[in-house]
Amino acid sequence: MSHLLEAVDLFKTFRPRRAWPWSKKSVALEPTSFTLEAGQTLAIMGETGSGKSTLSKIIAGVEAPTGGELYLNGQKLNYAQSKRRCQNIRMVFQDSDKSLNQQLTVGQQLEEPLLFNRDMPSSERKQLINSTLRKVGLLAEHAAFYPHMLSTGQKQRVAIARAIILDPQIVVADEALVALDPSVRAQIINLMLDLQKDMGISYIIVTHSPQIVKHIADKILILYRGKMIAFNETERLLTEKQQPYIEALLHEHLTNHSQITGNSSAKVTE
Amino acid sequence: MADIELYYQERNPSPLQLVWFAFKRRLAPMISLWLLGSLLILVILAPVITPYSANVQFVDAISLPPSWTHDGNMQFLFGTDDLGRDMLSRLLIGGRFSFGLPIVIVILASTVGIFIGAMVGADTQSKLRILGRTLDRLLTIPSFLLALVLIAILGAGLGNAIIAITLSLIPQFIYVTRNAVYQEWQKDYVTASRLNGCSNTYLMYRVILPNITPSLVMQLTVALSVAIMDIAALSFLGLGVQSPTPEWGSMLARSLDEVYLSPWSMVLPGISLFITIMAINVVGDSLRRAIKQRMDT
Repeated sequence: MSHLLEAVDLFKTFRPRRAWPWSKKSVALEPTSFTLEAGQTLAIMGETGSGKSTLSKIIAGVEAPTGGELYLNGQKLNYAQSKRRCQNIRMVFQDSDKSLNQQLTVGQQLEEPLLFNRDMPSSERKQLINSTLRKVGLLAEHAAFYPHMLSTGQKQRVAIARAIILDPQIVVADEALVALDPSVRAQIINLMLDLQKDMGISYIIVTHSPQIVKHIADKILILYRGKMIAFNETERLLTEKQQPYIEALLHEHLTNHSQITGNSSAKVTE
Repeated sequence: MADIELYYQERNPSPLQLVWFAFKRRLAPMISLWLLGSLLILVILAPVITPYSANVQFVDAISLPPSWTHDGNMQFLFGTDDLGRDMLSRLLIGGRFSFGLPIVIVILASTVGIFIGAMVGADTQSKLRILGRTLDRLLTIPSFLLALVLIAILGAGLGNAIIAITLSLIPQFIYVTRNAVYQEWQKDYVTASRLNGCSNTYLMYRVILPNITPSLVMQLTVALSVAIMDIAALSFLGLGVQSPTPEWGSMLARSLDEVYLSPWSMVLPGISLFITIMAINVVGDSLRRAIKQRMDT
């Protein structure tokens, strides 16, 4: 029985810019192993600089790991295999403003992955773009829009459309919900959950909001200074006694009511 | 979808079109643009529309003042110089060297410079970065001095002047392109396109190039005015265009001797140079302003 995604001892070290060639490399991520099943949601949590972004970038193929292996459906996935990776693992970025090309229309940007990964005539491409736009709650006419004509929530929807247009198995969302205001965030979360139900996508979500994690995650992976200190089902992490750091991370909103994120949980769980 | 026009009567203008709209609204840059356009047409058509050959000497009309003065003659609209050559014909033919050649030079230099700059900027393994850094050192030398050094090696002459100015402009293009490409390369949308599985050529031409057009356009206008100045200066020093061939810079140099006797032979090429360079600078400056306005909104 092979897992959808299995990471074995992934790690990443790098030498800071302007450092001496012989100086010690700093460690962004210590050897990390985890598995992900089809249709499940994995949340990666941790404080700033804990390596959660690095881990998600390695999975999505933005950065090459220094060592370790990644298996997709039991087959080894190399960093260089960009075709196979981008057909199965897609990424949604934190800032939709920056992750969309301002000079191309939404349609042109959605066509891009199709041009390079699917062998289909342009009429079929248009149809697929239309249906994908409708799937994420936009209209077919939005294909002719430029990103600066859309609202932040709509842009994030376009980014999600770009991620799901190739019918991937895994979508990596790196802080994709942070820049949104609470109501839009709730909309996007519900959209993501609907898509998961319809298409059977697995999500890897990087976030530091415990409410969202409790709401959507099946498993939680917690990093502390590049080291994985917990990887377990959400239920068990929440109910069983944990180390203080994990407790603090998971119950942050209960101790600090003044946080803006505190408001969103009510809407999310509606 | 271009074929869906349900509710939208206008096409959605692209960001570059919006820059053009902002540019079009202002008077001075549009006048400058028209000036440059008509100058280009005049220069291209110069051999057809000049009344006389540039080098034919009229013995009975030496140092004739322009036609609107008391002593002027309608046969020679802008007068003649000390050898009896028609100023209008010389100015128009001279424009081919003073305005046409710099355009060719800038096209050459930008093609080479942008190509190398893009390669260096997109290079992630820092193999080519050393080349970029080395060429950056050339920027410490003013481009005209660089051109002079090259002329000193190659020898005077029009062909060598073209080579020298082209070569001296290339480092600036490399610098601007490399920095722009490098900055864009770090941005999320390029990463997103990379994760789409795009080929590197697609990434460069469709993804990055449209986003760095503003800085390239600005560099092009700057380089054009620099090239005009350089070729005029080299000809003024007698290192560029050689004697019987008219060129605004060499015409200026020639008129130095008789500036009190026939001031028009100095003023006319001087004004032509002034207007051309000012028009280019106004266009470049307003483009920068229009782009900035677009970015801010």
